[in-house]
Amino acid sequence: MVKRKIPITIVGNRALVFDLPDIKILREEYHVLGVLSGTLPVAPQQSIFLSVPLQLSIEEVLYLVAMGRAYLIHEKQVTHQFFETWTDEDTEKYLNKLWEGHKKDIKQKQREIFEKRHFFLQKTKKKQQRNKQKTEGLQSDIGKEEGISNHDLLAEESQKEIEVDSSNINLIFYKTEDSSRGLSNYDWLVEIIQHSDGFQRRMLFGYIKNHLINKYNGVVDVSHLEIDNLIYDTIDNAVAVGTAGVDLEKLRHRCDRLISSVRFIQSIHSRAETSQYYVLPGLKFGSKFVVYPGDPLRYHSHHIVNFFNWDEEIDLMRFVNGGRLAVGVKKLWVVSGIKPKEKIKDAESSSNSATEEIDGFINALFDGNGDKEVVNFSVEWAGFG
Amino acid sequence: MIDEDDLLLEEFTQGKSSIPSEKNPGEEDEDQLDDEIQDWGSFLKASNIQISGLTPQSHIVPKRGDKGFEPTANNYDNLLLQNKRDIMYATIGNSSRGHHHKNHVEAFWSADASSNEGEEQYAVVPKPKGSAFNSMGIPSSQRHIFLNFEEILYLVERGSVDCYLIGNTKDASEQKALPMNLQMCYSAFLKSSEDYDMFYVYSYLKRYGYVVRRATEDIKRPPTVNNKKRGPGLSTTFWNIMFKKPLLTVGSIFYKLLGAPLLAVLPKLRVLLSRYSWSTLYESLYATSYGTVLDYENFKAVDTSKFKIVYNLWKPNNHQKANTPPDFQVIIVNTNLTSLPTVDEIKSIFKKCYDHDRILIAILDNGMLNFIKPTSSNVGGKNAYLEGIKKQLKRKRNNNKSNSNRGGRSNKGSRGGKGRK
Repeated sequence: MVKRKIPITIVGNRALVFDLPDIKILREEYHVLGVLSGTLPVAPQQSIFLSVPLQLSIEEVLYLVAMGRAYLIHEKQVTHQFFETWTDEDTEKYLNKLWEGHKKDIKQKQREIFEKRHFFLQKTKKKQQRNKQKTEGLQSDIGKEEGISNHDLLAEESQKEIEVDSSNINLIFYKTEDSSRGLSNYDWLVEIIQHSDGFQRRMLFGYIKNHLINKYNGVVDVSHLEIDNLIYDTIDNAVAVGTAGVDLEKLRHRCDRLISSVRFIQSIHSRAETSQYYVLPGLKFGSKFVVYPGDPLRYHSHHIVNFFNWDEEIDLMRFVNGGRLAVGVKKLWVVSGIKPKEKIKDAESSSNSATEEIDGFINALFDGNGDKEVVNFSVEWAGFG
Repeated sequence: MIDEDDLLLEEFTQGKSSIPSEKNPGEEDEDQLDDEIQDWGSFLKASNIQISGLTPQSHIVPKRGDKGFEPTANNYDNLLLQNKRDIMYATIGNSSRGHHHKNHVEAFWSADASSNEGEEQYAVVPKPKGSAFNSMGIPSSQRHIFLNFEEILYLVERGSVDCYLIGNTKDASEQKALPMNLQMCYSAFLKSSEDYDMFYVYSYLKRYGYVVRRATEDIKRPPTVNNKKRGPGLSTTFWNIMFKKPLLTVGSIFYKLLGAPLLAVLPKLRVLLSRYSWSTLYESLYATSYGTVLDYENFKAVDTSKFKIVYNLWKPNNHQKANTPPDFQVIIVNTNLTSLPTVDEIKSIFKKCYDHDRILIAILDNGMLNFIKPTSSNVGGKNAYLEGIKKQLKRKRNNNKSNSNRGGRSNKGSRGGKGRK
């Protein structure tokens, strides 16, 4: 079976999925969960059960893209183009379609109401009859006849009401669709503009760059605030601008962290014995990831995973803390990282700009053998003494 | 705005929603802390959603083995999982966003205005309807309401508003309107990663019923700050009485002349004087200075542009009067972008806010949200020894009272008192 590529919407430098069938594929075939983060309209006063959009972490996105299972959509651009090509005719068509839908809705609702009313009436009638029978002790021949005539009446009346439905405007339901999928222009735009390799590469660059370099993380001087918005104007701007004044050392550190966490997901899904594992963000346990042995809908998590660079010093207190915490919640505290390659060391000396650094990162990402370098250690509190 | 579903859900969440209770939003149930158990099946039952293909019998998952340790290869296990997934998909797929004609509200977002950089863009609601607009948006003179991007997006996502993208046609002769779906709304309204985080926190808080407003810089009140203090040791009170109060200037001269040699003798003097009572002895033992984080003079103001106070929160009942100070103020932090504020940064934030106890830091990690509350308290400022003594005295007095008052039932009363200890 050829699996189709999942379109991932990039909005505000966040990766979102709006289409339910796509969410199904991600979950069941690629074992990528994401986090549902939209208000569930049937129950808008709670945050435990949420609806689309599905929010994906950057690691999940990079994993999917590196495996050729997804592509990125510059949603701002597509919406803009979509609006440009939208004409009054389309509006008319849309309204007509909407009105037809509304009429159907009204019919359905009216029938429902009608049937409910009839059901209720018949119930009360039957009750009355039963009471009569009890008191008078008569046979129910007449009752049966009445039942039949009632049924005819129901059919007749429902026919009638369907004909004169447009008057009852209050039954119209104004629906807001979740995703743009299925709008003919939209699909066409995505296909034509967004799907080329060159565009995808630039898109990926912008997405990663905005994640690694922003005003918050100290990689860049705070005075370069404007970089945050760039990906949302045009994709070319996003690639060219915003890499000045970057602290290369910090950028490299963040690159290494990011690649090791992507590699971790890759390694989990590539090996047969661990292929059933699922990954969720680890905020609840103060780590990068929490790893589940099966779908989190059914199973508790087993691992609390942290990432460190190969030469990075790890505070011993974090070890003790993590180990004790993990044992306390019946899990394992895992330290993960990747072995440095000779090539990366060369690149360190050669890359002089942030652009080169990120380019190198993307090249490394698509390098297929990366997941073999992942090294994991688990830490357990001995609980001794 | 509030319809049957809301009420049903309130029943369903069983007090988990923090609107009526006095719980802080940060406090969550313990089982949620361990592992978020999303039982969509029980949710389905509680919320009474009609889903085609899933008869009530088929989606009742057996209670036992709600969540397992790890997957086994047997079919029953897979069946349970598939069942749970199907229920989840069906719930999401069948709960359509929208509203009936009676509550129909339209909003408009201009496609052309987005070129003005730096200026905030608003959605316009020409005919606002419903109670949601009481605590939202900026009303204009013509009874229109202007909504922030997070407000309009929240309403669209909730299904309460129909939003249109409006703009000129290519030859700029006429206007056209594009009915927006949720995906278009996200892409049109959100411009940066900051915006997304703001929207996420906003809708989270709105779902729990808080009144959420943007915090603007001009509503600030300097917090009441105690000056740097030393403990009220006997020596200082001694000096106060002797010199500072009656003869301030003379006192200071005296202090300059005699103070230094006297201070050298003081420790011995202090012990001598402290013999008067236990409380004075305790007081004399104060060696270190104390105060809140803000009290120290070496406070240096730091740039806190990274940690702006983004939202003011009110509990729904507290928002009736204008100018009520907010119940909470929220700062948003994304774990993937930055680290937590440093002490200096927290101090700077404290300087700007209404009240130290009302600051919440919302920590976001790819859709996971957690609130923490930095506070500063003046532990040394409380006379723990005195309060302890007072409490003991009070308890004794109460016991005596209850004993004498209850007379015959004194036995019972005293037993109760002991139990409480």
